[in-house]
Amino acid sequence: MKLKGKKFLFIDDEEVLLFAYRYLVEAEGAEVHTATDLDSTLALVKTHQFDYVISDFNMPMVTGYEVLVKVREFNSSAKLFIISGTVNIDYLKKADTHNILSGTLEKPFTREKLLSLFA
Amino acid sequence: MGFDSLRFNKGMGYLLRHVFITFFVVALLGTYFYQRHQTILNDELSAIIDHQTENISDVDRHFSRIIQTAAQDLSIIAGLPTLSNFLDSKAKQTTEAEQMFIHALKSFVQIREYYDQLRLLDMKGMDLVRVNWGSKGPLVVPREKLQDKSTRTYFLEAKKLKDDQVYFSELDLNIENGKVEIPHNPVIRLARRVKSPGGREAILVINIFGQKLLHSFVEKAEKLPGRFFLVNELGYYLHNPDETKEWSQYYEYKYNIAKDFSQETWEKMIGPMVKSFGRPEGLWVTREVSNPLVDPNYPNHKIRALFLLDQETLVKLREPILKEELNKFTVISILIILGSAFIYRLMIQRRKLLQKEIEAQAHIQNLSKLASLGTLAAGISHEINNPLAIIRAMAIMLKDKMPMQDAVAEKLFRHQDEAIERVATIVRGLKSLTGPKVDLVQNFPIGEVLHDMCELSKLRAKQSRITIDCHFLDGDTLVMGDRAQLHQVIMGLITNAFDAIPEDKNGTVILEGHLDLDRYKVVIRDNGIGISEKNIEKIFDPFFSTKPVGKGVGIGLSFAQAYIRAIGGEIRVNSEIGKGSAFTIELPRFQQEEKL
Repeated sequence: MKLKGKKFLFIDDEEVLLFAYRYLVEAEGAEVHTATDLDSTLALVKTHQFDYVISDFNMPMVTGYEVLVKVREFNSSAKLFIISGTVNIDYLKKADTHNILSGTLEKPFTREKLLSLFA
Repeated sequence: MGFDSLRFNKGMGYLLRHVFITFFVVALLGTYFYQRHQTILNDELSAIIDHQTENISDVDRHFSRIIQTAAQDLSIIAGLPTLSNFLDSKAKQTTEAEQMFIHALKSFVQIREYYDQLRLLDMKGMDLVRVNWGSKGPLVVPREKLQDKSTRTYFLEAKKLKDDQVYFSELDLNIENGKVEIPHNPVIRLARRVKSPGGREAILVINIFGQKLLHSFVEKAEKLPGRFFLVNELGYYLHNPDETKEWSQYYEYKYNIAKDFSQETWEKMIGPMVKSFGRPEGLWVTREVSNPLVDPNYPNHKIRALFLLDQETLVKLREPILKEELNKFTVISILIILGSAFIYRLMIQRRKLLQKEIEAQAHIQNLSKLASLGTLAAGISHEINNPLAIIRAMAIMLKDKMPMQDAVAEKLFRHQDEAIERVATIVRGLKSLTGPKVDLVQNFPIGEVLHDMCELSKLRAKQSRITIDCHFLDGDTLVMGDRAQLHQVIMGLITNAFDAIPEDKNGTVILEGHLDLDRYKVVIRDNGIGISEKNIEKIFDPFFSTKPVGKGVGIGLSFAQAYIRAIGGEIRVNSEIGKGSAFTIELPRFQQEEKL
């Protein structure tokens, strides 16, 4: 129950994965919210202050990075992460022009790797 | 290796072909100049032959004229009243009539340059009057020195003549007391009988100065190359460039044409007309010179004029012509060879340029292939990794949901996870195609990359209305990082610049570079559509693109920024809608200390 009391927001257009994130993180005692696009994300970040916001990179219309840039405007203290099946993770860190990322995670991830992001 | 050796053979082939063509042209030229020298020589030879033919005809005319004049003079003198008066006066002392006749003879000797003597013999062969050509003028031989010529052929022959017939002697040497007169004094004698009204008869004789006559014949002819001879009927020399051979019929050692050349040569000459023919010794031109006035019943002592253009002379004539043509040939050949070498160099340069162009085009194709491979890799990794993530997540959840610990199920789950990892590893391998690699130890002169980029862009611009303008300074500045990566970054920016220019516009893309303190600045400028303010903040974001789907993947600028930042540089953009954009890359200069 390491993550007890922490507020999480997972953003992914794959609802099955959102279901998996929720399962894995809630098991650690965290409060998990999910969104599938930019609009639903914005609705959530305007009303909640999250400790962790984790977004998939490839989203319809926008990239996960753009989503996180928007999130930063409302949740200034949240730690932001990108999960990606597409791009090289090292490269993504260097391409972080707004310097907002706390970490990245490659798909397919394991339970241990996912949780180690929030350690 | 195969390619290299092929190229080598091809290069050698070109060289060989070029050398062969050059050699062929030079050989052709050589043939031309050789033919030319032959033609010039032939022209010169035929000019000489023509001249000598003319000279030989002149000899004939000259001889005829002199003989005719002498014959006329004989009849004039025969008809002179002073001659009749002289013959009819019986006085033993010198009379006025005799003086007058001598005066007349003197004037003839004075006027006629070829007359050696004019004399009057009585019918017993005694000299009555004799006027010689002295060293300065006519000379009257005193009475006491007059001679008896009664035994001479010309006297005996003249005695037999009828009234107005003329005797002509052969051209031969004067013989005094059975001995040849030295120096040689060749003579032709003309004689005729004269008769006074009083019935006294005498014989009038003209001696023509043979040496002078011969000299006048050969004077012109000897100015031309070749050898000129005059021979008598038997081929003995009356004139020969080698004087020791002249008049040899009077001596022990006899020289004539048949002996000096060949019997065949001599026989070929026989005949009255002008002849020219070749013999082993050279080219001959000849004609007979004969006395036109001689009575057909009398022997006509003929002279033959001969001209020989011998082999030695031919060689002497050919030499300067050949030398001159050879000089011309040499100069032109050298020019041709130099010109050919120059053309070969140009051709090689052109071929190299073409080769470079082909290589550059292959390079572009390769780059675009790599780019599309990157796009493909990005697409594949997305499409595979997402479901793979779901599979793995579901597996984790399934394992959690298992009612109790089961060793077999554990094993199955482990195998499944290993398989998932295997797929993930393969996809990760594909992803390496899309990201930058950074090596801060490497360095290279920036000018080389800019030059390559410039050439590549120019090649690309050929297919459009876009002009490429390159000016960069300090090209030897060393910058850090990987040459290929920087290539990719700059090429990406140039590609963007190209794409920013509408197809119907005369666009310009400018590639600039210069050193600014310890940073090298590269600017890529275009006069395209520009970037809107809204987009300008996002252009460096990964996967941001304004290009139509399939044309861009939005990875270029973020990659560019990532790479440039990774090596400690910076990339910036200035843009105005409708006017164009300028991307500036600042590259840190490579410092030797940083290596340590």
